[in-house]
Amino acid sequence: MKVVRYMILVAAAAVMVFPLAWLLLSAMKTTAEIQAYPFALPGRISLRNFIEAWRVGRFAGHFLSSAVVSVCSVGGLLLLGSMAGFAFARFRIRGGNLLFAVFMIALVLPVESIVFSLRDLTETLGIEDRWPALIGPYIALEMPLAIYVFRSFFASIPREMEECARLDGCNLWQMYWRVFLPMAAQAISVVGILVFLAVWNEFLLANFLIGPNAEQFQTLPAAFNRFYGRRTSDLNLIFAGLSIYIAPAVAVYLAFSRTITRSLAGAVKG
Amino acid sequence: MNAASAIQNPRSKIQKLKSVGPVLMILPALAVFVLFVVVPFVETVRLSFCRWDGILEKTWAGVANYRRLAGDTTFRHALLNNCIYWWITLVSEVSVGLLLAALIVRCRRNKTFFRLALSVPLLIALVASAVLWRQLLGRIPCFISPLLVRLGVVSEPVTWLNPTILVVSVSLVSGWAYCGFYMLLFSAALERIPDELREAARVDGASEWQLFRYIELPLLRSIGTVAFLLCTTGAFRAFDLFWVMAGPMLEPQSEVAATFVVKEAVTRLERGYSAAIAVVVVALVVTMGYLLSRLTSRAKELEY
Repeated sequence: MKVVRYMILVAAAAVMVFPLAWLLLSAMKTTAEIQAYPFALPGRISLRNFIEAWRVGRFAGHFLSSAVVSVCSVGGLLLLGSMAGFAFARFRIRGGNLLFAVFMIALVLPVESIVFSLRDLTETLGIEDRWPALIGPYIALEMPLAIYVFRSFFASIPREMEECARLDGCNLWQMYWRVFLPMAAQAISVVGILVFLAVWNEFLLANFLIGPNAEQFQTLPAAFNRFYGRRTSDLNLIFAGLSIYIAPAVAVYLAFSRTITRSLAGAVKG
Repeated sequence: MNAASAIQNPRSKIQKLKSVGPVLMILPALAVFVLFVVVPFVETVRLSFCRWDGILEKTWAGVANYRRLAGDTTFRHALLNNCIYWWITLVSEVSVGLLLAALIVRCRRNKTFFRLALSVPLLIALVASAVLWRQLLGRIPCFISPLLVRLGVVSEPVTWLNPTILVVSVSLVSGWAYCGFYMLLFSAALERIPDELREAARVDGASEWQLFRYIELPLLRSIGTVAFLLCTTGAFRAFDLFWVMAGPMLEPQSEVAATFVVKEAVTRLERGYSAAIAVVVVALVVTMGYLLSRLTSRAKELEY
């Protein structure tokens, strides 16, 4: 029984990791080698493909775009979401429940229903093809998740805390900024990680809100898709580019795995 | 008395703030949300009653777009594909995730290692997974092909990337990408069941299967409903994998709702029709989400 259990788990782990190992090995081969012997080991270990792909795909600029967009989105979201979550959790607001319900509907909203209207909107606002065109919608779309997590977290803090803060003469803002927010490290890390992953990997909006006229501002998912479309026959560059693209995510994951796995599971528990 | 009024004073101040302050704290979040989600959505609904190529004047079209949609076979095909994707991912994501979680919780050692290895794909962008699997699937034989021939789905042996069965391939890749998520979800719930309970059942002569079926599964009901909800609403929003794995040659038979919406708007410049499709999909997803969440809130939480 125990042996069967381990065998299934090892097999599953192998299926999960195999494509990534194959990717890394293929990234060191030439296109001809990949075509002829897709599953053989590379003839020699070389980083040439990576350097070439980095240059041809202009990865430096796209990494910068992704970093700016993700950091701004996460930062803005943590601030606005925690404020709103705090207000929802600790105060009775007229129409608050209805408002909260509206936010929650947006949790399941298919993004394709607003992507083209968003494109028109950013053109009206004059921010099309620029980073703010992505940051605004990302903050708005992830807002329901942030409010949900922060609300459940702040609601679990005992009432005495709030009363103490009042007796000490805190006003509303101080109560939020000095008392409640510093206690919310756990909620902040859950929201931060989930939103960062979602934004870093988001494709549909990234592809249309920063269009082909502003390639240099595109974030990684859209840029990589374009790179792939243009270089379909240069398999060595595609595999090397793919490795460059996913390496940071995997590295971050291995470094913070405990926090991340806990966040992913914790978010749904609320 | 003095001390009492000193306490009273800041309190009454707070009381006043209570009415305006909290609203002010929600306002920025609400403003961003209204600007970038509500306004575009309302605009989409409005567009769905118009005819528009995205450039020239919009003309009012009434319900013409919806009437056209009712008779559109590609749309029916797309929704069917969404359903197939939904049913397969219920197995390849949720059930596999549950199975793995149940196996891992029984391990004495290496729990962390297995959880880590099985959830690595979660971190990889779907675009990257799609490109990677497109390359990989093009190089391995389609072992379900004989089965599909026998079932009459296809007439002759096919590859994984054949448009007719692309939805199956995508669902399996989606399982690879997401089963780790459900594994983590169920793991968290399973870890909360005390080990003594399992030991007690084993002492009483329960088999591992009985232990799973009669003790663990009932306790997973509420988290299971959440998983079902996530998988279902996710299935009708799927875009990235289909778009990238099909490549530029997205055939009508491998279309899903989201790719159909994008194609109508971008390739055929039918913004009004595209909006109508999007509105129908939203209505569908929100209705399903609502019904399922009602189910969740009714599911009784069992705890030990």
